[in-house]
Amino acid sequence: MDMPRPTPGFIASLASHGDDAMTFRERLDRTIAGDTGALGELFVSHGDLVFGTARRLTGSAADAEDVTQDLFVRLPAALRGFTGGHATFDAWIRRVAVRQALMHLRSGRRRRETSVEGVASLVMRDDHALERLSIEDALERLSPGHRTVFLLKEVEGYEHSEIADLLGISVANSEVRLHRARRQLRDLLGGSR
Amino acid sequence: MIGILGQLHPTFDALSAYSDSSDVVAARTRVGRHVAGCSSCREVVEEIRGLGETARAMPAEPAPSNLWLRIRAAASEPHALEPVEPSAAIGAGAAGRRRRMVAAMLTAAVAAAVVAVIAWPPTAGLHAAVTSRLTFTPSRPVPGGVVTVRYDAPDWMKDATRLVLVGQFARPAGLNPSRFAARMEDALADSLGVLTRDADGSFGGTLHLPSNFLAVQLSVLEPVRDQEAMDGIESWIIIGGSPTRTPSLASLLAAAEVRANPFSRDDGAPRQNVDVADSLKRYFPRHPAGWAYSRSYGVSRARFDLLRFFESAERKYSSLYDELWPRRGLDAERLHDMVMFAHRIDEPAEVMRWAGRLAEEHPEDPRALGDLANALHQVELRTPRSLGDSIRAWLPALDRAYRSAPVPNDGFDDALRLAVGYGDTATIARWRERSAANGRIGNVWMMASRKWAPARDSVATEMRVRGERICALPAGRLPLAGSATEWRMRCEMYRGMAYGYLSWHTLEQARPRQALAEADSAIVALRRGGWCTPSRGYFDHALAALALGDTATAAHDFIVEQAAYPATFAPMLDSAKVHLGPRFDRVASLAGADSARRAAQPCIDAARMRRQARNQRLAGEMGGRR
Repeated sequence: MDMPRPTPGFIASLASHGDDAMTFRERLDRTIAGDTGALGELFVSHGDLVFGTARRLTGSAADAEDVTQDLFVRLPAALRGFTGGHATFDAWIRRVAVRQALMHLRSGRRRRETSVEGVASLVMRDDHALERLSIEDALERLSPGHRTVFLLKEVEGYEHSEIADLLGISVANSEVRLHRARRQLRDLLGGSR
Repeated sequence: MIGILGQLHPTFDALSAYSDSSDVVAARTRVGRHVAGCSSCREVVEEIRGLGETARAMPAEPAPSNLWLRIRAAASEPHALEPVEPSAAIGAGAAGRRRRMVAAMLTAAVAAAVVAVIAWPPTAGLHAAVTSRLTFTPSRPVPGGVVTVRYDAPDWMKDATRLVLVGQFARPAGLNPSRFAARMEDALADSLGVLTRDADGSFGGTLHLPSNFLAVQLSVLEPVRDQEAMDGIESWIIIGGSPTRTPSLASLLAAAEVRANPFSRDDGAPRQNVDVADSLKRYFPRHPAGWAYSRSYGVSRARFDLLRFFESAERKYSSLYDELWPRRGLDAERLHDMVMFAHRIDEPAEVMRWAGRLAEEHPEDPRALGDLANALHQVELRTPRSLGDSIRAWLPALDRAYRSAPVPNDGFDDALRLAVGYGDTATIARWRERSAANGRIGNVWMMASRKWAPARDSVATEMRVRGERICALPAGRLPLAGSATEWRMRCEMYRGMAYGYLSWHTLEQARPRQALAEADSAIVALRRGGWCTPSRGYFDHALAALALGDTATAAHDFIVEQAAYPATFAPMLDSAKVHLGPRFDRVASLAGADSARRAAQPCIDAARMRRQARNQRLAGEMGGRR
């Protein structure tokens, strides 16, 4: 009758059924077949990657949770289109995560959270003008459009043509956004010129 | 920008574009040739490239461990498995999301492992798996349905032939009483069924649910020995579903208000609260109650600690505020939820904002009065007295809410106090009449303590009525928590306090003989209530005796009064000295008090033994199944 809830050993027990127990391809096949255990193992091995990517792009842990949930719930069906192996899976799921996060940003169902930490850092900056922001704080202060382009280019490694395609903007617009993001970041981080 | 030799430096955008090019290509460009010979521009390019390197080196935040549970619940629903390809069209997510949410909720609803019976052993960790002695099917019963109950009795109960299933049905959220300790009638429950012993030694029975069922709080009573079984908890709670067996928001909200122990002044069931809140979050992720539902505030207790599960409540509040505040025509439920949410994050100004809106837009809602009065009280606590005008401005809204509310509610006490504190003569008179008509002991004690002369008669009347009636256990009703004996003891204690006040009031009316009789009644009731040293009763008795000129009795009363306090507690001795004047005998008083303490000791020891036996019994119930 008790509600299922994670226990400290829960994730570890999932992780223990790693590559030794079955090949990676078998795990994907079982996931496609609807094996929740196999999906859980994929969550253990790649959940952090997906969540981290979504967290960076959305700027919100709550939104990143939604993105990660969306992705993993739909992963069994999506995997039918994935023919690669273990070596290419990281890149594939990372791109899926980027797509999913961008869809989330576009869908208008973001939670529009005001980061308490962000506000705190702003206050601190007012009080201590010489104190530099961290890169995370600085990214938080960029507009979503600028932050997204910067992260896609610098962290996710997309070309401007791909970013333009992903975001539905022109290549020139993507380049301009990147330059502006860099300029703002440099200013925020205390650049000299 | 101008370089040191008067040469134009490239713009930042040009340097930014240059930083993305390969060195070979870049070197051939005009910007490349400039950068090659300009150290300051090279620094800028290095800084730009460093930004990317720094961003790539950002530590990644790990996924929350509880996220898997949400995914698992949602993924087990076939309709949720819509494919998402790397090339999927952007912007197609909203509809899919809605479908997924519905699917997830339906899936979670039919999952057996939902919070249905909440059994929380105080000594166990939050995540400890516990098997409840009381089980039932279906796990999420629908209104008007029948529930089959099984009970695995502890050893001390196994020779019983039948057990009584005692219960109290939860009212809709906002209408569940919150101050049980002062309202004995709210701690009463009905006999909902009989559990008979089966061949395997367990007990079974059925529970018929009313058509407006939301949740029910249950305990099992062994009627012969008059002892309750609590399974190491205070009571069980069954949370209902809708006719389609989907989770019912109304049920969850009602269950969130149920206290495991009606007599407890704590929020003493953190497991229950966190489980209910967990369900709210799971089934109704956009509902603020999922993170915030709580009637208490400013109390650093387990309830709030465990609600850290729903971290970043302030951010969620901010998000919900942005979404909800601009909307016109919000329903009372949502406004009340935001009041509760603002309490949760301890923001009295925000509490006031939402409570004010609830009272203005939905004065008929039964929570409007309580929410507003409570919010004003918070303002009162945090602002100087000179800002009383701001509270005064809200008194008409309190009036309106009182007139519009279909049933009296818990906000009455606070509203009354505010009206007395800040209202004009007419306002005070109006609320006094309401107090007399709708009075409770809490109200009248409050007014008495303010020595508010016009109210004294109605207070006395109220006390007299309550003193007579409070311990009359209505036929067919049983206490929800604790045995009938314990319930009666508690009643007697309240009855004794009522008579104590009456005695003081009567003495003020210069009727010492009646005051003496009332003080006697207070002492008897307090003793019956388990109060081994009913000092307050003896104090009133002493004053009445003094008024009658009976110094010897008064001196005796003052001595017995001291028995409730340690010998080193000087104020009691001083009090006796002041009242007795030259007739005060310090040596005799000290010796007498010492003797009275010794006389009370068997009673104190017996009470301690009873408590220990009860604890051991509960420990035995727990130990028998782990």
